[in-house]
Amino acid sequence: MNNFNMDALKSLALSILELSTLLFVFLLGVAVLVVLYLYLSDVAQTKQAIRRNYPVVGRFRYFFERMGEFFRQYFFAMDREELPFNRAQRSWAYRAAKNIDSTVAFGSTRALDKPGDVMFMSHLFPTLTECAIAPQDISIGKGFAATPYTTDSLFNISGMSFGALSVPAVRALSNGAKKAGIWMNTGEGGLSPYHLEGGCDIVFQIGTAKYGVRDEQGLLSDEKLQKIATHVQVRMFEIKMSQGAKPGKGGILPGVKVTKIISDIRGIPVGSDSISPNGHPEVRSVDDLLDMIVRVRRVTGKPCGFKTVIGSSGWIDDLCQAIHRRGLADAPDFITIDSADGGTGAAPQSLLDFMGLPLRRSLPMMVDKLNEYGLRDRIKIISSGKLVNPSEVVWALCMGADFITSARGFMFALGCIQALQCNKNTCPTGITTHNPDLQRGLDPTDKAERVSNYARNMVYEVGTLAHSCGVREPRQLNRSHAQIVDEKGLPVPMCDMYPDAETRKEYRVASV
Amino acid sequence: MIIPEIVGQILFLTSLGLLGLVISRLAKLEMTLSCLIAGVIGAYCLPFLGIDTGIRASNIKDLVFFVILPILIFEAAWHIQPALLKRWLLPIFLLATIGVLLTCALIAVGSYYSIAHEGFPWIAALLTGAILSATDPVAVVATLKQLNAPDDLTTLIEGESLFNDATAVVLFTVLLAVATTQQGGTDQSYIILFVSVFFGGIVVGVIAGLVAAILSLLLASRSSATIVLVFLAFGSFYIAEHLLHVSGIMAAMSAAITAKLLLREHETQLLCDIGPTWDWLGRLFTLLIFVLMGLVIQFQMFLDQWLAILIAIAAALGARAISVFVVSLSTRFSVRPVSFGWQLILTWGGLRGAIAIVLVLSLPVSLPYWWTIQSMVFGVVLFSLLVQGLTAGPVIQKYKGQQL
Repeated sequence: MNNFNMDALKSLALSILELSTLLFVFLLGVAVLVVLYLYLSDVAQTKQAIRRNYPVVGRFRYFFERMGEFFRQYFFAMDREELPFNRAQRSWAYRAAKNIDSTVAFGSTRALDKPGDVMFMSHLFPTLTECAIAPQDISIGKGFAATPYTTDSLFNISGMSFGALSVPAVRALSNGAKKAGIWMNTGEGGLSPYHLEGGCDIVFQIGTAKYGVRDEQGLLSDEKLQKIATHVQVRMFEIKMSQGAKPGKGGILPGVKVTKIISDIRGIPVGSDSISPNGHPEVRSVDDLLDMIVRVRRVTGKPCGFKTVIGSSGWIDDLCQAIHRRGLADAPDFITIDSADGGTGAAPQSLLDFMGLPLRRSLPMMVDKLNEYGLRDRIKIISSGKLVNPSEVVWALCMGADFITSARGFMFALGCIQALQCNKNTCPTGITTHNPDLQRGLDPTDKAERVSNYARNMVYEVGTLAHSCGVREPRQLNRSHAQIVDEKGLPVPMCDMYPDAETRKEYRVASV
Repeated sequence: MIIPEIVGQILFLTSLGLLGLVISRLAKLEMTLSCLIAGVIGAYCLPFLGIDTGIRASNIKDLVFFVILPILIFEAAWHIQPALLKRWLLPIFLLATIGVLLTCALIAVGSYYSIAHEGFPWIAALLTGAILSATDPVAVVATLKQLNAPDDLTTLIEGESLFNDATAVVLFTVLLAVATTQQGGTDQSYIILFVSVFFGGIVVGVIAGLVAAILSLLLASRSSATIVLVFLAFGSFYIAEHLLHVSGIMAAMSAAITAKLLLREHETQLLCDIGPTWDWLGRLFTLLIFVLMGLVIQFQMFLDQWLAILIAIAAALGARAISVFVVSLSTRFSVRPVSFGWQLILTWGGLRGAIAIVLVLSLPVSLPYWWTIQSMVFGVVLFSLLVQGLTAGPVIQKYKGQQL
């Protein structure tokens, strides 16, 4: 009996052995065929020299090149190494959005001695919690526009067009902005029902192609402007002169992202690149610009300003002088200064990398010029460009900005992982893609919560910094509250590095 | 059979196909329908001409199975776009598996109980079900293109038809094996048979495709790549079906997909001739199928079996509608649900065509009920060509935009 069992077991083991040998030989044969195919395929193709010269093994190069991106991001990049945003910046935004503990321990990982680093001046007697006040209301266009815009929101959503962003992303932003009580800029892609959905305040951006407010000839249509202005939610109008990603070039929406609904809202054919002109054809001088601002304000009854990146700066003097010549009623109600280091959109790399001034030069320049001409009270300054962490926002406030807007900060709140594919319709997080499979991951309800958390935690932490500096609310910060590390590694007061500008004598009366 | 005779038959069939094309051009009729008419004309003229073509129901089987079927399947698989296919993979997969099995079962149940005749046993009902669960959208796809329907819809319909052809053929082969042996094996052994035939075919196809890719790269010229690929279509089917006794249709299909994927990078150098080759081969063989159907169709059939035919039409339509509905219901909560409008298009546009004829013509005449099945299938094919095919346009027009 036992013997018989042993025999059966033996024969079973033998047949398994035989079978696996056969399988092994079979798989080996297939493997040889595959290698043979790879070899011939590499030799026959003409596109990649490496594969042609080193068939089969050459493929590893392309494989590692592709994988390297992930390896670098996950394993090898230090906390403060990556660009555009390093991990320390991003993780603050993520934690703020998720409303989880934002404290870190065992000291700063920031070097604190690199030229340009900012530090804020803590006060011996910080503002006590009971003395602190929330950011105060500010009115834009009061006394000049029929419906001025009054808001206490400090940190708002910068312009990202519908089209660049997906439907769920716009919905999440709209709902989140409403919850946090901040405004949302439409970007140049026109106003969609999704912007209105949440009920937040909206700043309508008039791009160079005038999507949403263009007539048949592609010029500004009063009728359509009026129609947009009838939405109570639409609070202000912003004429876009240029944007940080590509100063001197109009908006670019790659053809793959122009789907049916985008084409309807923009009025362009499906699938063709949407390329805005690089400037407004009717605005060729500062007087034209003021004319257009006056016209938009008259037609809509709402405050109107413009957005630009600053490069050459002679025009600022011309503009201020023109305002004084024509009267304060013709002034823009606000100016949005965009930094030159790019934003969400598709842009030629050389414009992205090299064109225009960064915010740390252009923001003080604009503040000083307005002070010099006594226009600082008339014209509010909105500052935008890579300001995603509280320290950066506080820096801009010290420098003199009235409002801060951020696009990419809110994209982090939406779940952006900085995959740098905004222009390809392959965004893995569903924010900048119209592929429904990828959009599926983005739940508008959940992300709206994150958007609002991010905005609220930002204002809270900006308040904390302001109180440490001994002021009662963030907008009381000025240039004496910060120091900047110079080339010797020593902090120098910001007010020495950027001295406050004196108002010229002849304009002092006007400034009251 | 001697060579001149074979050549004569091929020439005769082709000339009827050409006649069909002429009819289609002059009378502005659908191509497949015209070929059917040409076949019928051919069948009526033959006795007067005094020619014996040697084409009999009994010897058509191998011709359609080993010559026509591989090309039809290979060509369809070759034209599928992998990216779009990937998007609709789940509904297509479900339709081609659960959908086909369900359609087959429903048709079998419906026809068995409605006919309720001892000459029509369960196995005959199941065979009918298998034959009628393969859809053939050639006519519908042409309409889709004319009406500018979304690519997604076209892919869904084409992909579904390709894969349900495959499962239906495998199912048919297994059922036929059961019917011809008649020695009641266990259920388990049939399932094992089905699975091994199915996956065995895929393995053979993938390896054949790999070898064909190697061969075309080695030969490195357009004309030789074309030869290799046409050879692959027939060869993979023959090796799998005749030599290894696994599913030839799965082999041809997976060979086509493998070869296309592997040669993707060399499309411009090697594959620019292959498109037109498949165009004419695919068209010719579709024509031949309908000509053959015209030749063997007899009006006696409709007089004798009109009730069975009506039952088959009702069962085929109802079963298709139910299984499309059930499968769509299960895709309801997936990423790509199939909308109700598209379900209507899938049902009404699910014509029965070439594959159904191929399968029914390959039924051995030794089976006592082959004549009944053939009449039923011919009836359904005629109905779907004449009624569904001609009215699919408005249905598509109305519901094509309805995407959930």
